[in-house]
Amino acid sequence: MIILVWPVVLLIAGVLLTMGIVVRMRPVKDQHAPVDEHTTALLAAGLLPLAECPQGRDACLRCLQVDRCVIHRLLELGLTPGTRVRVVQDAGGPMLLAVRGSRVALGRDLAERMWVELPELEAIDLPLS
Amino acid sequence: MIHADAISAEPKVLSIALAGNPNAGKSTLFNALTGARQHVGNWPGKTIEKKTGEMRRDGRLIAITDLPGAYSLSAYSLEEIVARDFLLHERPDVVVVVADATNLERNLYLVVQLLELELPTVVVLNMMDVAAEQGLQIDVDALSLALGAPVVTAVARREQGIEAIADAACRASTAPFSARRLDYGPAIESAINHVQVAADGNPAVLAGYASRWLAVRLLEGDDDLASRIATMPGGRSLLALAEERRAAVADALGEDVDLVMADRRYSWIHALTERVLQADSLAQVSPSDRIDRIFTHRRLGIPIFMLAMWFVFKITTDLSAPWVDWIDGVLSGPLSRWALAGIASLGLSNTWVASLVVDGVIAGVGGVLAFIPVLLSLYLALAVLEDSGYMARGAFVMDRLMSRIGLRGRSFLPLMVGFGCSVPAIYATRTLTNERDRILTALLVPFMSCGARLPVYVLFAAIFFPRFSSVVIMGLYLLGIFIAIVVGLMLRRSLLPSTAPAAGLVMELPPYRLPTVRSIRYQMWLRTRAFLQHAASLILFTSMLIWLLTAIPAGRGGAFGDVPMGDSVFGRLSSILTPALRPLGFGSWESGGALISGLVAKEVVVSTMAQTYATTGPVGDGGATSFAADMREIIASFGRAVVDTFRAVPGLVGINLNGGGDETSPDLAGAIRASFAASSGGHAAAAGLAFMVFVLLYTPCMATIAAERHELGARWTWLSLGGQLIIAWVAAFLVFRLGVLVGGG
Repeated sequence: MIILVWPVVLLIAGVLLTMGIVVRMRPVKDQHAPVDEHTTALLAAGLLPLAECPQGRDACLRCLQVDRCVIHRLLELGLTPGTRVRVVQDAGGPMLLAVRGSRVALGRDLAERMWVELPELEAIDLPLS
Repeated sequence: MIHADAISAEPKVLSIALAGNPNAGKSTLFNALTGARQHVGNWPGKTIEKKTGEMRRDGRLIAITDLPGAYSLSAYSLEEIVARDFLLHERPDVVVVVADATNLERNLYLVVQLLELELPTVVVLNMMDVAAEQGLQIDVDALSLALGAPVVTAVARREQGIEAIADAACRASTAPFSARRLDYGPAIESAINHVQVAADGNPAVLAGYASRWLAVRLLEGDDDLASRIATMPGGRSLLALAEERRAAVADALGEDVDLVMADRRYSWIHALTERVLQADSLAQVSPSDRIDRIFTHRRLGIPIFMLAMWFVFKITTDLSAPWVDWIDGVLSGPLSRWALAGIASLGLSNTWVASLVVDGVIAGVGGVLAFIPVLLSLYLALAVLEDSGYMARGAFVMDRLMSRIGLRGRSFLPLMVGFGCSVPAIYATRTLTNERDRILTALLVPFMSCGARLPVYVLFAAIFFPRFSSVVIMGLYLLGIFIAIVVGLMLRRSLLPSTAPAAGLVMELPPYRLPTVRSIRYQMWLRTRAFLQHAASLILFTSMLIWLLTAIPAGRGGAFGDVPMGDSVFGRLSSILTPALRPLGFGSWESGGALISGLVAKEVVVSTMAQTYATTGPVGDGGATSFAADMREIIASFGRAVVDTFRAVPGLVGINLNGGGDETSPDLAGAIRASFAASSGGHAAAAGLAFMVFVLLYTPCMATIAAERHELGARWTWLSLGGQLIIAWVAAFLVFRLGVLVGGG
């Protein structure tokens, strides 16, 4: 009977192991976001992903590199290109934005593919060009 | 006072559709308008709540439909499709669109889209008090002029402006349509014009839609509308034209047309709000932001959320428990006695009629009523979380963790509630905003080990693993979670693929607001009433059916309602089950019977076993071998246990840690051990563990089935039922075999 504790221990270990695998699995996959020509062009144009926008800074939304069905959700929430957005909170996970007077939570994977322009950077860039 | 003739002679029913953004105070306004005269159901074939109600104004009946909250009419979410279909096909007399005055710009986006439908529209600026507090001044007349639609201000929470809204709606229903047209700029306007002319030339395609709206939507690439147009005569040529114009405009502008059009709308709205909105102070940090700094804090967020969930859990279990007991007491005590006395006065005592009334009807009704306190307390908790705005924060905080298993942050709450009771948990999936997530979560809820299953674990762990009982019980809970994760991942890859690949989280976090007692009261009562209307019948039906099965003799003699268990249809059915359980190590009579009774309610598994074994007599070592000889007696006791099942149904919910423990007599423990040893060929512990796993994973109870059918429809319910049985059998089989292997080695 005592020996039968083993299946239980194995089960629990299996559960924990699988949970661990599941938790570990996703972020690795996320890092394989394709770096295509378009992305390099955007970076070259001085834009940066919203996900890398510093907290509390105003930024101007420039380009949405996201799926069609998501675009519409973003548009109807007021995240149209040219809109000012501010990162209210960025705790590593989903981000909290201020957009047109409302607060919008945005998944990080999405924020990686939304390109913004920081006004200060623009000001620095101008005399150079 | 009102005669039937008068109504038919004067059918002055005005239909109003209430539209608006989520969190714009639409439901509050709906409650203020209709009062208690409302009905909560689901939209046909959808898992979205539909609320309809009515009010009277100047002797006129106004029927109001509360549309699902939507940010636009683009038809990219189920809510938007439901709202749009209603507006397009039911064509209400007036659309009342509720806009949050504190967030004018975003809310006007929907207003502008609604006006394009060219239905009589009234714009309600809600939460004017909060707007005033924030120093926002809105020039209502200028706004009305710019939109070309009447604008009414209101504070729905305090029921201010309700009369004005009703009056404006009545006026708008007869007034000529005057909404201003939004100018999309020359390139798009010429394309709109092109498509519009073509559509106007083909009334069949138009099918009652406003032609300009049709043109706008087709240019925007509305797939839902396009597929509908395609089926109409001449529809394909119109679509081809729209597609051609769309490509041309996209080329000319160098941007996708839908993007440009959304941008044009927002630019137009932005210019408008600049004109009509005056902000005294531009407070950079709102009180809501300040609260959010704590509630969505990177470290504090999840603990705070867990605390909130713990409260919900406690409320649905502890708060309701005394009431459940009370209902149980009334039904099984006085009510049953009165019923029996009444039957006796008719000279029918000790007949099947008495049995039908007490064991069938009263027990069944009790099974339904027992859920009222549970659901009321769940809806109390949900209403507070939703109305205060915290629910969205919880979803935000949990999203990162939950998205790993293909669920949203909002799925966490139903799954958590599932540890208490599966029924309210399935109803709690309503808080999810996407149908796929809702179905997925509801399918996973039953794997969360509910409180009713715990007594079984306690009993069996005490018998078979006395030194490791807490480890075993803990392991079972974890196993449930593990299976849910695996099943969730499997479903996500097969039946319920993510609608938007890598869609990620996009969600508005509404400002925090103090919930109103009135709103919470309405939600509690109306939603509970909807449960009674929809799920009660199935629970009652199942209860009566099983009673009937135990009452019908099958072959070997006996009269209807007076038949030994083994000779009844039910007895036969449960003996058929035994061979199927043999590979799991508990292919015995008693376990089969206990599992069947567990279909009605899990906590009666233990009491059924206690009953069957207790009347088997002094079960010694040869207990199981006397199985065949004492068949009839065991069957009779099983019958009594099943009858008790129905009496116990009202105790369906709530955690009862001691329930199993108290009843565990040494005799029962010995009997179960002996029986399991016999049925498993000496591997009693392995069989016991397999039995626990089976109890964990198979269908929770008929009330859960009723809830699933109510929320998901029959198809998913059958899938869930079948899937759970298969998973339970396979898992129990594996556990037993593994146990035998390890134990034998």
